[in-house]
Amino acid sequence: MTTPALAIDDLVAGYGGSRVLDGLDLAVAAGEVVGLMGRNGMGKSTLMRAVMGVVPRTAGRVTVAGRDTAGLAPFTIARLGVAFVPQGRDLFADFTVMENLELGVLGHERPRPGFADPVLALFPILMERLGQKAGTFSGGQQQQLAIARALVSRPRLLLLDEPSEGIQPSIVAEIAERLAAHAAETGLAILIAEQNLDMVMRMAGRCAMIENGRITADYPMAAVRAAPDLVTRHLAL
Amino acid sequence: MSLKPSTLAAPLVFALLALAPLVLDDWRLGELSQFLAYGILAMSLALIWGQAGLLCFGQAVFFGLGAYAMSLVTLGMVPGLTAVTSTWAGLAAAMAVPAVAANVVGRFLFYGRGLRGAYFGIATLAIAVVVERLFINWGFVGGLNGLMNVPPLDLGLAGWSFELWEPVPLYAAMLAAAALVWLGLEAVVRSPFGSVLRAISGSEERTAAFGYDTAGTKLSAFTLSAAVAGFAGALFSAQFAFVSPPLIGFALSTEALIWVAVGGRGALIAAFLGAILVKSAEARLSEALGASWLLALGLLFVACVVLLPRGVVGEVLAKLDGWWGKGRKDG
Amino acid sequence: MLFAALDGLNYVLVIALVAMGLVVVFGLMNVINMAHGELFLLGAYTLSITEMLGGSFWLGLILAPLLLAVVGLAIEELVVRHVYHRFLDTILATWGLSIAIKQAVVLAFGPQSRTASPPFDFAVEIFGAPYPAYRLFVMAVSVAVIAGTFLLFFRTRFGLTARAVIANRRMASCLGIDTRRLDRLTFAFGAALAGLAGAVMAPLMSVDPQMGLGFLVPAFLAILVGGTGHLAGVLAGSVLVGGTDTVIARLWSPVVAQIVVFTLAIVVIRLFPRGVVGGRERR
Repeated sequence: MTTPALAIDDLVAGYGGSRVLDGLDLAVAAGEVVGLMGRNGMGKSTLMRAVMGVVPRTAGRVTVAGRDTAGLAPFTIARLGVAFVPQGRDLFADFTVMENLELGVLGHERPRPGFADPVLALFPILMERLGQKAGTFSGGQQQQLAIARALVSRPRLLLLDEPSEGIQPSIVAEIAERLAAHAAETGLAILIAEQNLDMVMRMAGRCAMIENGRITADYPMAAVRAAPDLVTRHLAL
Repeated sequence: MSLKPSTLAAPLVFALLALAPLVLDDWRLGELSQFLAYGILAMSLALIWGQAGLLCFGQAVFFGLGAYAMSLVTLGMVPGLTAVTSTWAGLAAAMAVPAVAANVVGRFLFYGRGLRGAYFGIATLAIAVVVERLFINWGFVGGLNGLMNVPPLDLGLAGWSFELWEPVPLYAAMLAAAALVWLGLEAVVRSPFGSVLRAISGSEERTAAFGYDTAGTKLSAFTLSAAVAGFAGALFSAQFAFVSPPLIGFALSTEALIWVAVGGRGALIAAFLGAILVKSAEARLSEALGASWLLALGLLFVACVVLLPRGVVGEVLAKLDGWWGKGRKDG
Repeated sequence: MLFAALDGLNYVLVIALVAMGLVVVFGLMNVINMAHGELFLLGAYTLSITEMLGGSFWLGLILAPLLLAVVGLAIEELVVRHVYHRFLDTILATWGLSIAIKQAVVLAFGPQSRTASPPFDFAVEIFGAPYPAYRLFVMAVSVAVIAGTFLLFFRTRFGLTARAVIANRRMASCLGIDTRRLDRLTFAFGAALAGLAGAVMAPLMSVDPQMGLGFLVPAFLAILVGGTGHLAGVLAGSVLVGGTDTVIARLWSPVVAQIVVFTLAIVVIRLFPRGVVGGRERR
């Protein structure tokens, strides 16, 4: 078996010593898209941030392409090939589109001319607005820019936290399909935390359910398509 | 109330200090009397900094205002009130003047959008520099020379006179004053008002969201702290018999910050001891070390801030409490 | 009158030069460096001692920022790094450092004041009256450094990265930007600016262990008056603080000027917590 892009073993993490994640196991292989679903407060965002090294981990192991990330600063983890699109996107609102894209790559290498071309091909809407301030964009455009900013460093693993939040469904579908194709083409692994089953169904090959800080079920997407209530009953209260 | 070592620390400290006249000669005892005044100043700073998180770079302004007020009253220099020269009137003025000053400044700084954190610190630093220059250039209070021949403390009332000339009675009065200040401020710290102060220090927004008048609370604490600092200044000037601009400015304000940081900002008794220990060490070591003393003190200050945020005394008290608690649990 | 205006402009530019180093460190690292005045002092001593040892003014002017960059790195590593997350403690720790540095200078070189010589002491004619050329040189250096800092922050990739860290430190780190390295560089850069300011000012003032504080407080007030969100705020604040000081000092006395300027500055800071230029509010 090849080394997974991301492997999480028995992870315990939380803010100020709390156990938001309580012994969580999950692996994502190269080229695989995994949906992470669960109700609010079950630990989706905390998992993303713990992988990124932003939330302190108290026990367990997180490896990226076989490398242990214990004790590493977020920028070091990013340099192992992990890109993060947080909930709310955290774009640099006062900076232009081009500056945001440059910042996606500056921490990794000196930007070469044309460094952004592949992602601009993926999200052509950004192409015409390279000089525009990111803060003036609509939600859907901002989300595309945030994903593009994450992809310019050519990561091996992309963490997407609630990408569909506040975006109209047609654009969500478009983004999902492009990303899925991009992952299949490049071997990019994607872990996507969502409440929107439609987006996950369009992209993911697997769907992991998170409840009280653990993975409680892991369904192949074919099974979810056949019986969506497998997932929806986890999401209902 | 659980009986922890830190609870016993203050009574023990004051009991030990009460024994000082048995072992110290007159000169040393007089020196220690002055340090007690500094100790009171340190407690006043610990009240606003340690409890409410107000980092004040100008605490000596209030100390100095108290010292000048006391001197002007007891020297009979207050226009229109030249006949009122008793120690009691002096002490009252020495607490009232800084309290009013702090209240006016605080009203301006705390209300509305208010100045917080670093902004407050830098504003108080600028105020300290300005006030010191003001007093240096103010002829009425003696300018750079200050005021001399300030009368000693006189505990007499209604025609009786009891002047504190002798070192031992003077020391006893100073120690009693320090103990009373500690008792009063400790009561404030342990009261619900003290809890609100600590809540403000943690997060002013959250405290305000719970419906507390945070600006008013800070203002009360700042005013009280200024009155206590003024009281310390008055006691100091009366035994030193002399006031001058260095008592009101920026250098003494900095020293007070060092005492409290080194002793411990979290507990009044730690701050009090910080002042006495640092000043005692200075008295013993500054001659031997010369200019190196200030260098060592600066580095000690940095080390305490970085490594021991609770201060040396505060850290010891916390350790003792820890062992005590563990010992009781294990036993 | 013209010379008064030139002297005023000189003072404004020097405050801006000192404040530039402070605001870069404050904006990027949220650290208030109370030892900045002593870094200025060390810059002045570097120049004075270089000259005493037979080196030229120009050598001292180059050595001062280099040496201070190294001092800045050491301070960042030994002290500031450990108190980043305790904002008020950064003020205290650097305050303690300022006392220690000042005293170390007294120990090493004595409390007396020293002198430094300008590289040239001729005067140039301005509207028919002589004005010291070195003062014009100081103004030119200030303008060049201020312009250079603006270019560095708004026209280079280093500047883009630095501004991203100011805007959102955590996200910048998640994008792979080495925030630790940036902190070190920023502190060293701020210290180097202080050293350069001290060196260039040394021939114009008495070089003694107390010289730092005289610039620290006005520089801080300039930053707070102008607003900490913009580098441009530093200029506005310096003009207000330095300009008011010069005018009042000329009309009344330097003492009145200092008292009025400090008091007015506190009032302005209270009324405009974001500074007169606006920008982010910081605590």
